[in-house]
Amino acid sequence: MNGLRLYLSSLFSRKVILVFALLLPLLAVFLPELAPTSLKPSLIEPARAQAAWVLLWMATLVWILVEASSTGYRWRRGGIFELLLPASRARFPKAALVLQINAGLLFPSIVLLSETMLISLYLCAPPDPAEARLWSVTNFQYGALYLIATAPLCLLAFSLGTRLNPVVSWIGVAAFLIYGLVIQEKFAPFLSGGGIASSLGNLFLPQYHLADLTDRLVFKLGPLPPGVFGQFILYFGGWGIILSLVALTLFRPGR
Amino acid sequence: MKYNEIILAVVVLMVGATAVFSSGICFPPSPEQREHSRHALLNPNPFALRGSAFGSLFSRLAEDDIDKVWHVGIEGETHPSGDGWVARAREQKSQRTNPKPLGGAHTAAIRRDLRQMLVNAFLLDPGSYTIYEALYLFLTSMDGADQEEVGQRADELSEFALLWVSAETEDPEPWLTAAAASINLHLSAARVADGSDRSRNHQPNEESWISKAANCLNQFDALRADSVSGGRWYLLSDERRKEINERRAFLGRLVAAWQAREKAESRSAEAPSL
Repeated sequence: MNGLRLYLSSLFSRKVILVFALLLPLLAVFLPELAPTSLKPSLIEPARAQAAWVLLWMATLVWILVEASSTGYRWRRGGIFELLLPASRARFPKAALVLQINAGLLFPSIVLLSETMLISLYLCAPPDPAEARLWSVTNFQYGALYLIATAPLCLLAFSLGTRLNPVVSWIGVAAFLIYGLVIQEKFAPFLSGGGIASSLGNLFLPQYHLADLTDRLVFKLGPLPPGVFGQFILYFGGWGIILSLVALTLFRPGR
Repeated sequence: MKYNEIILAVVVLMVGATAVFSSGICFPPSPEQREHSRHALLNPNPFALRGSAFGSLFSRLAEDDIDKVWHVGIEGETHPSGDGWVARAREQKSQRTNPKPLGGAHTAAIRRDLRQMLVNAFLLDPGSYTIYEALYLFLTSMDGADQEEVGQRADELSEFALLWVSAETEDPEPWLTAAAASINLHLSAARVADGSDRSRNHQPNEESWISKAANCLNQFDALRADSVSGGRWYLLSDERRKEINERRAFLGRLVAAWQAREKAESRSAEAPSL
């Protein structure tokens, strides 16, 4: 039995994923009806895409990260890692186990992300074919950035969960993500000085707002230029490597 | 951990750090990288809330709070918000019974909060004429911190609103904001010209703000006609339609009066040469 299959079977037996998988499309279609758009019907389609993507980030924050940290906590307390580790024939058994479980933890992200992208591509695409193509490229860029930015955070939440209380580890990782998404902009004036302090701040504090392409969708700005997109992928890939290594170091299988 | 595992970990860590460094965005993106569009005016804009459909929803929801803070916190009085026991009870609940007025520092703090609320609501929906007018009134009448800059800031607000509305081709309402902003810019230019506002140098502008306001009202009429023929206009509530029409009529009377005055002035200027 490997970690991925064990995690997926526990996920399906608990069925929480159904709640999120049903709520996300429902709310994404229903919420824009509350906005005063009767005089500007062209705003309602971007508003659906906006609602879907924001709900995806919210679900990541309040469920997927909770799921990751509580899985780490429960499985260590239950001694499941001690069962799985000796059975592993991988070269680096601990790393292999953590990666298997995190492939499982990615499953809810991928389900919700595909729903979001389906809503965005089929219910919200602009009628003009040229614009529609730009719209879908933007969506795929957004999806890639979302996954590459949040997957390492799941891994980190999971590993912290094996060390700390699940609530504490979730709050830590969620604060890291919220800082990078929203609060970071408030600190921008302090971090743009160019001195050693601001350089260190920019190096150690994440810029997750770069993975938030909602404005490119809502205002139909078109996709990121390939060079910039590559830079962003490299940036989040780098953060991913660093966070994953920290997570592997923090992972504690024993009771 | 074995020795070679540590070496592997260090190598991978260095690769990650190199990726972060070499991507060049461990330093904040330069302003040039940001797109030069009217949406860039709203940055920072997490999840594109400002300027979106949800932005106008939240801006409208903020109107009640702003109204309450303005009346209860600054003017120290409540206005009945309707008939019936609940409306009266709500009014009585925030009625001031303390005979002593708020202290100066407290009032200043409330004023700062109110200003922030107005600015936030304006950025959420820069086309909303209610919020624009409220913020303009606040800036010109209550924001007494720095009289020198007050006129300047109010003009910047009006120019922001004009720029934002200039691309609107669907919704008639924001054009009322643009018309009001043009009239305010005209009044401000007149104050500078006749010397009652000495905080700025007179900048002679080629176009007449009044004819600009008239154009905005024409745009409003055209878009309203579109939405009437498309049936969208009747999706609004009766009160809302009445309110918009009254607003349009009021601005129309203002513009007509200014145009008549300009015509009379130009005629009297021409008279001696005849």
